[in-house]
Amino acid sequence: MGLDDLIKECQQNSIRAQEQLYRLFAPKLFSACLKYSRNRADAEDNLQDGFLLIFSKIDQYQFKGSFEGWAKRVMVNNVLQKYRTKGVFEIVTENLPEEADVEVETETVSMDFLLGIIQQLPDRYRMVFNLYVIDGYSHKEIAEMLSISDGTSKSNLNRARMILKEKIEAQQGNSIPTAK
Amino acid sequence: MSEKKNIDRLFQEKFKDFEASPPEFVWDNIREKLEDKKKRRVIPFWFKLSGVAAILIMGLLLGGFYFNAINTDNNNPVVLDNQKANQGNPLPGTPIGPPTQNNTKNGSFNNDLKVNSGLVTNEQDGANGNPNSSPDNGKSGNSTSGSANAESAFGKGSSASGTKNNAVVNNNSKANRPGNSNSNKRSVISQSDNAVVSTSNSKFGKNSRTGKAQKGQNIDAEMTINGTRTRNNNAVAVSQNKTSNTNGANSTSNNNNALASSKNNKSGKTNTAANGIIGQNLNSGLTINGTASAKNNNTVVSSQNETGTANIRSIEGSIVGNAVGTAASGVIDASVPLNEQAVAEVAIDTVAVPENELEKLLREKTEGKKEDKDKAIAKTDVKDKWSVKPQLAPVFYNSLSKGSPIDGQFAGNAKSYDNDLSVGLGVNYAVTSRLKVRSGINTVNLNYSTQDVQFYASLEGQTRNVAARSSNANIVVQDQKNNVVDPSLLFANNSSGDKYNGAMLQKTGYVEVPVEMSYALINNKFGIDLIGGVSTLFLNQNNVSVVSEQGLSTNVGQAQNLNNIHFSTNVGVGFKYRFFKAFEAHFEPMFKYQVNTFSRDAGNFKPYFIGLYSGVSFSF
Repeated sequence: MGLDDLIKECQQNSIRAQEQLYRLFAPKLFSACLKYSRNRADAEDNLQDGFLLIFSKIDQYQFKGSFEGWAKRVMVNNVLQKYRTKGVFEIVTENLPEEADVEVETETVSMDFLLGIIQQLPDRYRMVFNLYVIDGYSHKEIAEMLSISDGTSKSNLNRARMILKEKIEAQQGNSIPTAK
Repeated sequence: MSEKKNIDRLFQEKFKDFEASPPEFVWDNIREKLEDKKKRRVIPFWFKLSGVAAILIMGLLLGGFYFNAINTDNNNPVVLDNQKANQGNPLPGTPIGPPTQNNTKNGSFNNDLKVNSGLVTNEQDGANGNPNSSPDNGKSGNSTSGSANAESAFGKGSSASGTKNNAVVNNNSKANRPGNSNSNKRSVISQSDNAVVSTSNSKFGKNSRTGKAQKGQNIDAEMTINGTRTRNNNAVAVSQNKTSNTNGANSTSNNNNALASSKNNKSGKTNTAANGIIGQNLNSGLTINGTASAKNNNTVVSSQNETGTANIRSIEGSIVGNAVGTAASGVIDASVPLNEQAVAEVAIDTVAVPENELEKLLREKTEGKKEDKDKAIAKTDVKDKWSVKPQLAPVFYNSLSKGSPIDGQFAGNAKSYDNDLSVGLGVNYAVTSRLKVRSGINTVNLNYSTQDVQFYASLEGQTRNVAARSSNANIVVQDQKNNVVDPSLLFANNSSGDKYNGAMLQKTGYVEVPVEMSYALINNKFGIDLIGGVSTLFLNQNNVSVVSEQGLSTNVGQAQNLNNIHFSTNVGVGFKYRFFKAFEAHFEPMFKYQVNTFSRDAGNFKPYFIGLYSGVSFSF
């Protein structure tokens, strides 16, 4: 059975099809949730809510473009929605370096570590960083999605970069001597 | 290996193929919610129906009130009727009772009660009796019996008077009527209460459902997580919530105690229904606690303890709680505050559900193309909001009860109701794709004939409730069984020769302006609508005539007790079939119960008509 058929069955509210769809996309969407959430528990919550949203909105999927992209957008928007309503971080726009290079030993930097420091970022920084760096949205798009200005988005991104850089360097600083 | 790397590229590379499998319980939760949702899907359908039904019931009940009000008005003449009957009974007839005397007597009655038919029957009584007693006896008899009967009529409605009791029996039935109408009223009241309560209940039901279906899921999710994971803040409060959530009504937590107390405050049905709802709402309320920040947890839990239903909508619990508190105090009063509460809840619902925004965000930001499409669809929707529909309907007229608006004496006579044709033009406005407001204009003729009547020309007599046309003699119509004789005919020495047996035909014509709502249960190429509403009927034809068995017909006059404007409550089902783009064929059987048709003396006549409306609508 093709994906389209599966989606059609989901539109008919077939639990069996919904489970299949879940099994198919949960790993990819869970990774997105992990990136955008504060911690693993939140990510699990968000995955659950996001999937429920996907199933309730699956009627609106027009079979144009990839389903994965559509589902991910729903999922990410759901998370954004959640964090957007909680806590406001108004940041003064500053001039920060656009690029941040960091000295890393690729082998010693683990996936879990990187995920961890992303999750530790303040909500807004985390969202902007994920949207811009990993998911490739433009500042303009991000500004619209988060109801902030372009400038705030750029400033948040730079702040996020700086924090991440510091954390990576600190980790390198700690781990390198022990490794040597 | 150490290298200098752009931080962006580092993350991009690392996260490129990042996948992580979620724990299994996530799917279990989702599945639970999905199944839960499926089960609940039936509710909104019924809710919407119940909304329509509630309107209809309210309409009918209001109609009932009107009708009963008219009936009680009729009670005044009852006394007179008694007197009439008894005048005949104790003294079997004042013989050639000098018309002048009779007239004076009658005159006095008339002053009190202004019912012309009193004249007719009185004279008839006198004329029928044996020529034995004196006019004096007649007088005294009349006066005493009159008073005695007045009592009896107010009292039990007795059977005191003798053999010729047709009229009295009639009276009894009439005299009973106030009682009946009272009890009717009562039952009406209680019904309406039920209706109100049930509607509000269904509102609850709906709210709780939407709350759950839309918002609840998000939040429930958090709750379960909380249970397993114990969040930083308020671990106690949250876990308490969780137990009540899972255990439902059986749990022994504070929340449910509060429920029990609320039970005591209320009574009967309302209670159980309300409790059922509370159970549900509790859940949703609690779930909201879950998402709400730490400080809310405490406050909400405490508010639950205070007033059983207060917790229904959690965060703004205090407002809702107050509303419910007053609602619990009195059954009848409950309708208003319940509504208020419903409104309040709706408001909170909308506040509490952020998904719409998300939806918007989704469409606007990420699917530009789709948005255009939606707009196009919306445009076409707007385009087809109006439709006109010429329609034609055979109309079947009838009465819910035996009765005659002309004269009570015809109540028992067989009646035949004419089937006529109603023609008109309907206008529909689509509020949503399913909900339409309808109006229009129709002509409708409602005719019926009363069988087995007798009529004759008289200089003095009149047919009750009919204003004679101006001519030399009035036509007096009476029941054949009555068989009484007009004294003026006796004078003419022409007892029954000029009486004709036949039928009395009452014709009424109206211009009908309906205001109705229709809700589409099925809305495809073929559709089914539920229709309900009211019509205003403007009288434009009013005629009473008689037809003899030989086929001779003559005009009697106009009914005096028809209101120029009256109403009907309409219920019906519509079937439609779209056979070409903007054209739909309709077939709509409608039941229209007429309300306030008669200004007085409705004679227990409760007319309704059934129209089988068919037509082709054109939408634009």
